[in-house]
Amino acid sequence: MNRRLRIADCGLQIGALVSWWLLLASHMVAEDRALEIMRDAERRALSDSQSYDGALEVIDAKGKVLNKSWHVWREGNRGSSKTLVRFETPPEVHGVGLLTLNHVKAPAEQWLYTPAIQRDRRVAQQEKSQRFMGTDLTNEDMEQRSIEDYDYELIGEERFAGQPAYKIRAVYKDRRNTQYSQLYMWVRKDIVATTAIEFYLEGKLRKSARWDDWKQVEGIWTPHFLEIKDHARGSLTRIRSSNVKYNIKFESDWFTLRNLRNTQ
Amino acid sequence: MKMSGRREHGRLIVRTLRLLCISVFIGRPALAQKQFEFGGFLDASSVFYAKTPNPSDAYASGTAHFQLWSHAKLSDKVSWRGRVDFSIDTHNDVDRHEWLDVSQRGLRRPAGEISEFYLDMKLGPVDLRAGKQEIRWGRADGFNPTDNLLPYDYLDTLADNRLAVPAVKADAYFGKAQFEADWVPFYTPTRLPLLGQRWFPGLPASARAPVSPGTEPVDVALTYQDAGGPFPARTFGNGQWGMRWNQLMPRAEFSLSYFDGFDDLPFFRSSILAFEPVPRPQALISLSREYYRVRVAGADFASGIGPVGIRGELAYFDQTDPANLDHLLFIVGADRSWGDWSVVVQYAGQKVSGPVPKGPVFPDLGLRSTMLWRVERTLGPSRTFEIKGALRLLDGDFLIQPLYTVALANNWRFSVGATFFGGPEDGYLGQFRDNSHLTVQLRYTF
Repeated sequence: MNRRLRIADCGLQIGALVSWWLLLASHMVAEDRALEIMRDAERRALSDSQSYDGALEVIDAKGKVLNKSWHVWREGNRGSSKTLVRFETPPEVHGVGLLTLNHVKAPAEQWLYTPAIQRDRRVAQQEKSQRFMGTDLTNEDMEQRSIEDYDYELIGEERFAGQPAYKIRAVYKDRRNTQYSQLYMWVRKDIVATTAIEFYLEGKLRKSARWDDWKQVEGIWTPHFLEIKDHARGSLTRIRSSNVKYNIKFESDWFTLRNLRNTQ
Repeated sequence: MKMSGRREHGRLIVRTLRLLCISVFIGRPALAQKQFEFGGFLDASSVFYAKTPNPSDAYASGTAHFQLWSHAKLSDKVSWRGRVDFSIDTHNDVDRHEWLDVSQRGLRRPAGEISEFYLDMKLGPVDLRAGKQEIRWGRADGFNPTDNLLPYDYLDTLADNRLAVPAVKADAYFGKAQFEADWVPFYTPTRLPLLGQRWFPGLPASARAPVSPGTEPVDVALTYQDAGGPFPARTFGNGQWGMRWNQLMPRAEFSLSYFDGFDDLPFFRSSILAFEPVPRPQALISLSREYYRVRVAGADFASGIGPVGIRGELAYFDQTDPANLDHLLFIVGADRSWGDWSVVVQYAGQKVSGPVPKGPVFPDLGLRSTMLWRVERTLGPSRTFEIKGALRLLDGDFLIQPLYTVALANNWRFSVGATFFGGPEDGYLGQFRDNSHLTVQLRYTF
């Protein structure tokens, strides 16, 4: 009797172990598959540099619309990149610029230049959660990060905006350097490109973004429309991009404080 | 032969000028690169006061301000920028007879002024800017002891209005270092509040003095007259210069600076212009302005410790005026932002080589042991609310400024704010306690 019980107990333990291993293995497979998808998405969108003009609509919770426009230049990729954003309109912020130097495995450095007072200001690390120039983007959203900075898990496959897509959960590895606790991403299966992200803060949906109006530019599937919704505030930002260019050769000092100060 | 020689000489000059133009406007053809843009704003503001401390003060005042700027890119390496400002007001801070002021030396704000006019040139690693321009130094928030090349416009005492100066500025960039050299050939004074009006620093209303030799001192009522004073001559020796070394480091930056020029604030010399012993002893005091050189050595830094940004700045002023109050001004602070909140807290202090005299004290010697703070809350894409404040810890006087701003539309902005002064009357901030006010402003930017 005892022997039978012992065998049954042993069988249960082995069964539990096997199912745990299977669960772990499937989880690892899901992680590997998610990372593979994200790497593929990154590879397809990879370019040495990029520039575009953005037309923004910022709509507050009461439905009031404010328009802005900017130019964006980027050099580098995969977490080691430099970005310069310069506002064109509204006239009050004409010439305001943000220079971001992204570093692999180190916090990005940012400077904001305000031409009205002719000063550039180092943006402290904690200001990543702050709205970027009155939009629903934050300073952190303006950074470009490496795929390897996140842990991924493939949740499954879902249709998003009528397109079959992979649903992937992403968690930034360095929690101290992000405002979001986790992201849910939808990656379109046909063109392998991220078409939507939900940003969570301690389990609550804080923000969502979706990309649309996909066109091929120099062989790269490029969204020409981005909508970011801030669920806490009820505000919305829409960005329509135009004049998108890839692999541009910049002057050596384009992404420097010298050029940030040069609004001419 | 003589004519031919002159013609040859003329051709040589024309050829040289052409070569010079080609070398300066080097790159693609200038006209093909030409870009012209302009902008500006129209601003109307009203201020409502609760009290009128001087007979000439009013309970309400209004100002309209129109600014137009333009910029032209002449080539890849050369550009030009100009700015004109026109103002009109209800309380005569604006000189309505001055419609095209360039030198900015008047006691009142001109009705029209060329406020900026300069040429930018990019010469390899050097950026050269020549003309009337603003040169700003310092990394602290709002109060910058190292920022001494630009005079202030204290007619609007609480606004950070600066006056551009004629200057040549060269910035040389070497990797993460930047060296700046500035030369300001002509002096521009800080525009002070008008004597006898609410923002001029407090002056004693009476003094005890004998009405004739050998008699007992009695109270003598004092009235004042601004006698002005000659500005430093426009000579090469009276030029002002500054230099600044800026260094970027991983996660930090700092600068060292030196300025040798004239103090933007005058030394006031008082003399008795008239004295009437009867029926009540009274004296008319003349305040004449004298300008003396000052040398300022400064440093500033900005960095981050964990989630907190830190900034600091200090400057040592070597004065040469008769009061000879050499002093050290410093400010250190921290800033933190999260979500829609932004908070800056700073401490400003000073060490003066002697006792600060009673009389006109301006902000250069007014921030003894002072806490400064600014809390800003973004209420939405179009609305912000901020509270700025200053508390002088040793004297107990303070300033609080709440401000609400809303973008009414893409080009329209409305703001309403208040300023409260409090504390002892003899404190730098407390002396303005009758000047607490409400401000309403509407601006159209184009």
